[in-house]
Amino acid sequence: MNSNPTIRLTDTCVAYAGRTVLDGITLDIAAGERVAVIGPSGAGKTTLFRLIAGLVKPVRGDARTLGLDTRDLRGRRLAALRRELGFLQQQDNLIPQLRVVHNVLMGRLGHWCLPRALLSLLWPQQIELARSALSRVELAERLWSLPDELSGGQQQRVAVARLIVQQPRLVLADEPVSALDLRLGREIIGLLTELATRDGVTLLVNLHTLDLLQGHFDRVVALRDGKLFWQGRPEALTQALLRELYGAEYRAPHLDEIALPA
Amino acid sequence: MSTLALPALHGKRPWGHFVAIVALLLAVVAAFAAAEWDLAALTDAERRAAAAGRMGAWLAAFLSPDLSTDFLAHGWELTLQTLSAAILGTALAVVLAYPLAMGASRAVCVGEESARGAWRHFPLRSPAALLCSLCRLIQDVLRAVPDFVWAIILVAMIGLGPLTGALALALNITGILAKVYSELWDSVPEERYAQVRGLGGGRIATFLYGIRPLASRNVLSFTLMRAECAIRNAAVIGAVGGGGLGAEIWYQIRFGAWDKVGTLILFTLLLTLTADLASNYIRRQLRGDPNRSAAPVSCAVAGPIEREAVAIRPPRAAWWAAGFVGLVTVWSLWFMGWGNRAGQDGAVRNHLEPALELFTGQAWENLRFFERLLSPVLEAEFVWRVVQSAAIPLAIAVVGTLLGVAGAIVLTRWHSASFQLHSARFTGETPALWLRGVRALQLAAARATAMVARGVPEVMWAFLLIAFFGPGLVAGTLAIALHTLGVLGRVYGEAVDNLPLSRFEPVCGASRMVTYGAVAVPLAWRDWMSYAFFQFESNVRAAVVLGLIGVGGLGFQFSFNFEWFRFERAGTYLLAMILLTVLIDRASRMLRLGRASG
Repeated sequence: MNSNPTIRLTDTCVAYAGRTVLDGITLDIAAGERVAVIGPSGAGKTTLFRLIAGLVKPVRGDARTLGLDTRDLRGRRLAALRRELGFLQQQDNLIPQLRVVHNVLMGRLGHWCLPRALLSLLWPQQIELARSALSRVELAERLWSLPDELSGGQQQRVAVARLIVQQPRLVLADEPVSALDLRLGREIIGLLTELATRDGVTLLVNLHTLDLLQGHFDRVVALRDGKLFWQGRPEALTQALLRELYGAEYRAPHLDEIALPA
Repeated sequence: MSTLALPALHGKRPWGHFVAIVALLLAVVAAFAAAEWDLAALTDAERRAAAAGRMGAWLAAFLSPDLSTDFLAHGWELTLQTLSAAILGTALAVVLAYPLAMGASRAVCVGEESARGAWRHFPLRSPAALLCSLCRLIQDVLRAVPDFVWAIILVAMIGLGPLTGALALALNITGILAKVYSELWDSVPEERYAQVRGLGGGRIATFLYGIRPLASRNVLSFTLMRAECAIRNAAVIGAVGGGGLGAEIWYQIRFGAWDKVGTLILFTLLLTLTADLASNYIRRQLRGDPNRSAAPVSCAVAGPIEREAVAIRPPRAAWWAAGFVGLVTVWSLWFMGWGNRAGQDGAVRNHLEPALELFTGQAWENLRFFERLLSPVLEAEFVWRVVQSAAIPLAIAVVGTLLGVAGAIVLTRWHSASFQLHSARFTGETPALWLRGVRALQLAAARATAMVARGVPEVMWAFLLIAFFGPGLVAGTLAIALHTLGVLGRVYGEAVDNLPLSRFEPVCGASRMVTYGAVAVPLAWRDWMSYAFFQFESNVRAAVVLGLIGVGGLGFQFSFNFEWFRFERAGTYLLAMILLTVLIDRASRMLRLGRASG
């Protein structure tokens, strides 16, 4: 495989207050790969994302993101890593007090000095960048709206536009579509994977809705009880596997309805 | 997906903030045009050197305070006297403000009514409505006349002493508390206590079982803040005859005994900082700790998160608190009357005695003397001069508040625990031990700066700055700015620290400084501005008070005319003070820049 992967976890453990949340994860993700992370709630998916972002530190093992050891981030290396990391969360991506244009231009904050960042709040800098990013998510006419005036799906699209402006090398999307209905979710995942394919971005998405797996991702990583349960191509997922992965949660009707090779 | 908002309305670049900036600039220009600024005190090299020299001399003296046992004991007695005056004043104010606020609150006093439209604002529509308007008028007058002016009037009635200070504080605080209580009660949504009415409760029952409990936490929290404020004011009201530390400081400044002034300021700081910490602690208990657990707190609203108390408190706690407050009040009363040894040679002097004059009628005889205050001069030419003198406290408040707000915004960057201690949780940094130490030190330094800046009352800052720069607008403005910096530094910092840290995660690699400026500041901005406007209102009143001690303007003119027995003219200036406060209050209500809750 790739000798210098975007993400390399080697037997990594994470613990909160003595409780092991991630246990001996070993995982390599290559540049440009599109990976979906699935698993029942409490399996440690969000912690995995925070670990990769360096926001939680491993208690054992090794975690490297974009070739940098996340246990020892400071100064220039920290700044470099954070510029290359894009986040998309379930909610609270946007600053409700700031208009869409400022929220999108937040993608440039890693490159702007403080005076320029402040000036931008009065007179948006590089506004063309925001305009083109917004038209890529079909929200060009919403440049001057407030986030509260947008629907949930539109808000997530604005957050995607911010990622387009930021141009990170790695996007961590933690349940980006859990608050949306299936059709809107498909739209957002479509936008994300299109962004990843076009700009060669490595994409990690934490998914609740398994319907969105097919056709968008190169690999599926399944977590259970803080351990790496299974990984492989999405086509290789089977009903039996899912039943074992989700256990009691699998009773949830929508999981049964997914069309998968039996 | 349905688009609720009209794109046509929001398709254009908004200009609101530019309008706000232009309005602010106009206010500043007006402030500099309307008053004569003694900027030479700052620009003239020679005067600057002289001021620096005086500052150095004062600092040297301050660093070697008079620590003789005698003077320390004297200072301690004065500190206790100040404390007892503040407690007595606040206790009295709460007792008076409560019924007054019940009268002034439309929800309590008028209750349900069928009046509609403009008729709703007509005070003569019903007896209850008339009572409500009357109470509001009383509360406005009580609030608009600063405690220092009440003290001047009371000195003439019952003489000098700590009781005068306590009563003056009580009168002013009654007005402030009544206003805020009634606003808090009025702001409780009606549907939340409709059930009490539905059960057949009258207006009093609706108040006791519906409105009062719903607003009680905010009422308590605000009362605490006022009590803290009362302690600060009690420490300086002696300058106009209110006794306590202020009287002694004013006395020693006149003699230039800077070592003694240093000691007394240390005592003041001891008192105000203790009060500051105690009130911080109690208010944290009242609102519950902002959650700082590892789990990301998701919260869509900006600003301080009002959390419901999680634990069901045993009902005893309230009794303990009430008992403690009662005990402290009794102690203050005892101390004011019988425990005080701050007079000459440690002689006990009963400071409560002058109060008897209020009942024997002697004091009211004295008040006769001021009857002429009630017939103010209303010649056009003179009134114009009064209006001009009112521009001076306004100008001081505008510039001082702006400087203070700007300073507080900068200071908050280092005052915030989120950015100094917990930043690794949203940046992923692994700070070295020494770096964490440096940041903790920065935080401590910023907090100490804010604490001292607010712990020293405006009037005391003004004493010092007048000693450095000479009496004038510069000294007054800097005093207001410093105090504002301290007060706002605390609430601004709290507002930022109440934001969930997960808010700062998706900032696309911005440095901590840029994250603060471009993300945290906009998130907290609206809260900050309503705090700032509230502070501006109080700064206008403070600027009037600073006038009394030599900064100039309305306050100075009032005391000058008062001391020369030109009561008719003093009456006009007093009227102008009241109008100024009432106008600003009404303007802020119209702009809906009400007091931020909490």
